Amino acid sequence: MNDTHATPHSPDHVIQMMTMAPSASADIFAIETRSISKRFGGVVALDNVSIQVRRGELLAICGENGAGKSTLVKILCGQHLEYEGEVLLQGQPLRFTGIKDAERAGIGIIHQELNLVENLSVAANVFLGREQSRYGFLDQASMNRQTTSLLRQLQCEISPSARVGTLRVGDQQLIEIAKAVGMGAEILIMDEPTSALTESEVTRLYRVIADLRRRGVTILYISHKMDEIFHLSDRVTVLRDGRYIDTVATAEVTPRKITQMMVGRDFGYQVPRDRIRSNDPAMPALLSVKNLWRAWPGHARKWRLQNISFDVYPGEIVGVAGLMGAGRTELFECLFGCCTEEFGGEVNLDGRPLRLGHSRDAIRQGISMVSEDRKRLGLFSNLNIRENVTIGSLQKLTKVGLVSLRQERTACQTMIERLRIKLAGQRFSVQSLSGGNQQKCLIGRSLLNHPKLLLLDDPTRGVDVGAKAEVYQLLNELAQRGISILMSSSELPELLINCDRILVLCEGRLTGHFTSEEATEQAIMEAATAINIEKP
Amino acid sequence: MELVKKYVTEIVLILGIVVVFGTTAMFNDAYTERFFDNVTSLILRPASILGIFALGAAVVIIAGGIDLSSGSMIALSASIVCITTLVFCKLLQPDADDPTASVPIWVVGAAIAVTLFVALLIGSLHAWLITVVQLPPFVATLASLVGLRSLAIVMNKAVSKQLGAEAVIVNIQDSNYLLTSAPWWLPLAIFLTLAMLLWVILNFTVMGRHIYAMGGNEAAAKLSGIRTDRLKWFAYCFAALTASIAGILLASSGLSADPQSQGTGGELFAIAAAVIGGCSLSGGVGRVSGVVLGALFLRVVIDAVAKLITSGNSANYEGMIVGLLVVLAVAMNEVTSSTVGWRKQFFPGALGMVALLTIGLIVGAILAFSLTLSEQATNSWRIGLVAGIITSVVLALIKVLAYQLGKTKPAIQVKP
Repeated sequence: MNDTHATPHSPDHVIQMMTMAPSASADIFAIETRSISKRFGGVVALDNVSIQVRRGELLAICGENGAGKSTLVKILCGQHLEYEGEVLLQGQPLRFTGIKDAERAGIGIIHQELNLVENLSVAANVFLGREQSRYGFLDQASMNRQTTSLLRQLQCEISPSARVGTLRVGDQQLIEIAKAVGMGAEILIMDEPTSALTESEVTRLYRVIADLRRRGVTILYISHKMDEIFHLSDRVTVLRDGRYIDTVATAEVTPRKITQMMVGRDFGYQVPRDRIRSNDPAMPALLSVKNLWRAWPGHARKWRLQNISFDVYPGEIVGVAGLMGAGRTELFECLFGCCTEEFGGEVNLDGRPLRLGHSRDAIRQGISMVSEDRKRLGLFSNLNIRENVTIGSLQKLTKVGLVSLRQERTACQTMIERLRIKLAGQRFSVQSLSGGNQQKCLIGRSLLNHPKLLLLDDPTRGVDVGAKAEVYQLLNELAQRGISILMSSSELPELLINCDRILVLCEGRLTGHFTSEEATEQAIMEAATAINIEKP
Repeated sequence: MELVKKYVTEIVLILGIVVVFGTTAMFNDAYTERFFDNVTSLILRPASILGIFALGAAVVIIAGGIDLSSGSMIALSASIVCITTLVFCKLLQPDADDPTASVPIWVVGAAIAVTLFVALLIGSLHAWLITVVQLPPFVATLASLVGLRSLAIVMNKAVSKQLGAEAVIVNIQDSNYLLTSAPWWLPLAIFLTLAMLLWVILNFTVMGRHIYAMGGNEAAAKLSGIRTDRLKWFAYCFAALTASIAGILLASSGLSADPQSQGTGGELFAIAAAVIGGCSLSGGVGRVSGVVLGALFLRVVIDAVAKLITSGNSANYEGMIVGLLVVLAVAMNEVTSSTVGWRKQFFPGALGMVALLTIGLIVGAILAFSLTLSEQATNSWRIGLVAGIITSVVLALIKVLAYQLGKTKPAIQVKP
């Protein structure tokens, strides 16, 4: 056994693997990790994770956002090369030198964001990086023939000469699968493969997966959708906070049990809730959203958001929960007028319809936003700290048409003191600050516009523990002053301790609405994974 | 010390100007004999005209865009100012043989106004193509680069045909036209005034700050409520306007408009001056002081080479000088801003070997060609060959040295 496995990518071995029934798994696992840990700077993404994937089985890996699923996948497919612990393939410990190396060892990956060259043909994509040639010229005919036979094995009819860009996402995904199978992958890692598929494409994918399994391919299936996990998997491994929680046989558990394992994260914060809640039903709502929708051109689902209705009252903190791709950022973009796609619905601020053409309109009407991606959408790395804080409100800091340095300094200083930003001086580069202080600068920039409603999209992303507590304290103070806050977070406990009410999004729809008394992690997670909710 | 660090580009440029100027003065007698004439007519005047439209190029670059149209804009403006003058004069004196023999001052003013107005229209067109049609700035202004010059040629032919004889070159007879006899410092004064104006705009107005912000991170600027479309409108109009002023000045110095030759390659000289002056082509970085010195430095070097190459057409060498200076300036910037610094390996692998030989070949060729064209044309090919080989060998030594320095870093783990 061991001798044959010493060369895992020999053709003999592939045949042997294919003829082997799934039940033949002994103690040697197709893929195994032993005490894997991975750190990004001070953040621990994976902590001592050991998983075992039996040969020929379909193991689902699930967990909340930030549980460590993606990091694990990236280690297994040779994208992250530096980590602690061991990866074993067919019982052999090894360390990949790169993605190519993992491919050669028989690991294929189907990314959530497909990795295809859109302007090339199907066959060219399937053979990308290992093109076949004859007398120094590409052997199109042979590659087309092999692609056709690969696709036929997957029972789908796609012309090998079609341009990939013209195909639908579901077909493109099958091409990725064909590419991996064509490379002789014995282990397929699928990272949330159904996130962009229509109902019928999902059914076809299920059929393809069943077919692959019949041929002995081991599948690692990353997902947080309960119906898929229960339809497909043999066993489920749950990760939380980068730690391994448990692995259970799917037949022996219920979806509720799995969500229970996903939630319950450690969270050592207590926020003093000393403000007086003012969401008195008699009071008029500050923001009122009715039937908001946002189109998604070119996607099977057609819309990013559908039928979203909610109110935000003055001085209230409302949380928006949802897993990756649920539409949190998309919702914020609509409300801030920086949405590039068509959207509509009735949005009122202070009883007046909100005009949303440009972010500038939103700011003038009293809405400010701190975006999710600090580096890409927030900071100006070429400007200093002072300039970064005042950039949104310079118009008010002028004297005879020129920017008044004195007024600017004062405005910046007010924010530094109010938000307790730690810095060496206003003149220093904004990149010299820690993540938490950069975030505070951006909040300060928003506050200088004196907003009535502050939109905070995942405000503690990439912020260290101490600064998180300060941000929470700050949110509390702002709400006390009567500013309404609509915040999203990838971390449920953060919403639970800060928010008066929590809205839950799942696939662009509002699937839950809880007051802080009703909200539990379990209830929110069930709404976010759409258990008990009918598919349209 | 902080100031030195901030203004390192300016300091290097001032030193460069002094050194190049001093060296040229030492080797060239004309400098010392007719010092004032040289400095004013060969350095300050052309440097000012270059600097004027380099300021425009710099604003666009700081705003995160690029304007390739300035050379053609110069040609078009020179043509428009001359052709409008011609038309006005013809209308005033339909029967005169030489209607432009004496141009009234209001005609001059009107012609300048028309030219600047057209420049604003062209700038607005660029802004529209970029913000509304959403063409990349490179493409939008490339269209103008090729289009405007040929438009100027056709316009000159058509209008001159209407007025009498068809011609591409439009001449003005009045030797006082457009203040041609004005003192040498007029372009310099315009240049410095524009530079001051731009300095105030960029450093002390809301719009200036917003331009830096947009150049640094356009998405974030939009989300901060900045109307980026208007900023681009300003930037491209300013660029077109400065190119137009340069065009008028060129027309005044030659008393003619020749769209086939005026301002050719101007766009690249302007971009080169901006880049040498410390503007980053990725946007958001650059200072007026740097651009002013960059233009001056570029001119001083071009003039020095013209002086040292005693025969042949010195203008033929300008392209090589500009190319070399731009590559050096950007490479310097790359080295000082990167984390690896001077340990960066410039000649890795096979491509490095080819690059190293190519540079040697270029150095040898330039030397051999220029020596052959000069009066001391002995052994020029041999000198070129030797110089080329020496260059390659020196670069090869640098390669080996950098490789040795790089080896001290531990290699990445491999599969056991």
